[in-house]
Amino acid sequence: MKKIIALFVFALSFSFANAQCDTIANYCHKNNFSVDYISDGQNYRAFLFGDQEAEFTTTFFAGATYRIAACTGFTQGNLIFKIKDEEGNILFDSGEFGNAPYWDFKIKSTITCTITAQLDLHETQNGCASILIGFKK
Amino acid sequence: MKKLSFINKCTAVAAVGFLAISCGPDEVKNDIEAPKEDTTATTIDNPPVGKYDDAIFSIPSPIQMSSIIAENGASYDANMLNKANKSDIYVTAESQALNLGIYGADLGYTTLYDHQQEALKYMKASRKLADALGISEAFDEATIQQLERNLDNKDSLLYLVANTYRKTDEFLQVRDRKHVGALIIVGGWIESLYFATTIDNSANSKDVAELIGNQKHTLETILDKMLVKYTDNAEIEDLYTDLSSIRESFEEVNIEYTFAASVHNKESKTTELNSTTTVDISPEVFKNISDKIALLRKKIIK
Repeated sequence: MKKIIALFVFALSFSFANAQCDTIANYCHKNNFSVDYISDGQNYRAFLFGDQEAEFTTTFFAGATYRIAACTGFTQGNLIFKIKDEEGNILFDSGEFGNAPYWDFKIKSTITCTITAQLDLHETQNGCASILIGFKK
Repeated sequence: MKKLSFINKCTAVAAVGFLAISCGPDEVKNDIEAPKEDTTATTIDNPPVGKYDDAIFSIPSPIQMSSIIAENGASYDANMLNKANKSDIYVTAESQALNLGIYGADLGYTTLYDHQQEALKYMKASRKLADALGISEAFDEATIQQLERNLDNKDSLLYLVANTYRKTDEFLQVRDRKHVGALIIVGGWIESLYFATTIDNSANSKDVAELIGNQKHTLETILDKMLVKYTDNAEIEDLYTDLSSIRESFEEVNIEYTFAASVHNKESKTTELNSTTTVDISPEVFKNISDKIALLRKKIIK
């Protein structure tokens, strides 16, 4: 019986967590992107616990200006995102800029980078991390 | 990195789930002013059921790839596009998803070049495939009408098209249909790479050659992070094999990276990323990649 209840709670919880992620991506887009920035058409998200880190690789093209927005929950500024190059050098860390929920990047040369996201544990212990990327026309 | 036990994870997820119901959205707490055009938080309607996995991947936007092609002076070429009246011939979900991605890239291309009436045809073709895939909620009539109302405003139209595809991606992720979402993204990538390798004198343009060469990393992501999980599906396995052949050609592309410090501007919330790469792609390798992409694309659009 305990197992059934545990499974039920787990399934229910994933449903709510999923709904939260769904809602946060829209919230994040509405609050951080103006019509000047075109979405890359994707949502980058993961449910994080404690100091877990989510990461993905992306290519920035020369001459373009990108906006990256990072959200978790409905309070902006709880997610820290970093951009690292292929050698592991940190090119940007939103934690150095007050956990800025969005930031713009001007690209000199086409480069492939890794974007990581981590919760600010002073603000929250778990939540859906949602990263969005747009580029300026 | 801290590892949580399964029980702790369950407890944490349960706590978050219940908090999501009982508390609702907090106020925005932020010392950086966000864009003003829409600050309404979306509410939770009909919470969907789905699962999460660890795969996060990024594929270049077809609209941006077309934009780079246009900026390099390539003229509009309707012959490069898939025919908008072919949506009915795609009968399997895999074929529909790939061609929805291809139509999305065609829609972006026609919009960028101000061919609104053509764009309208691709919107309707996309809608048909979205209906067939059971994702009309993400690509609904209201969206089509909104796109139609903005036909004369290219900037708004591009914004809406990109956001429609983002919502489609989100819709599929949350409903545990990530493989369909992955195929839509891969279809868009194949079409935009086809554009890049087909335009006149593309091999002579440094920017376009770099654009193509840098797809080496993208193809690794597509194969190793996106499609590898779904190769028990015969159609996806076939696609995986074709793309693996293209990867063999990309292995001849050399990319060299040089680090340079970034420059930050706190006032404008802008950072200049100054690191550089150089891409070395020979004419033979370029032709090899072009031929393989054209062949694969032909197989997909039929």
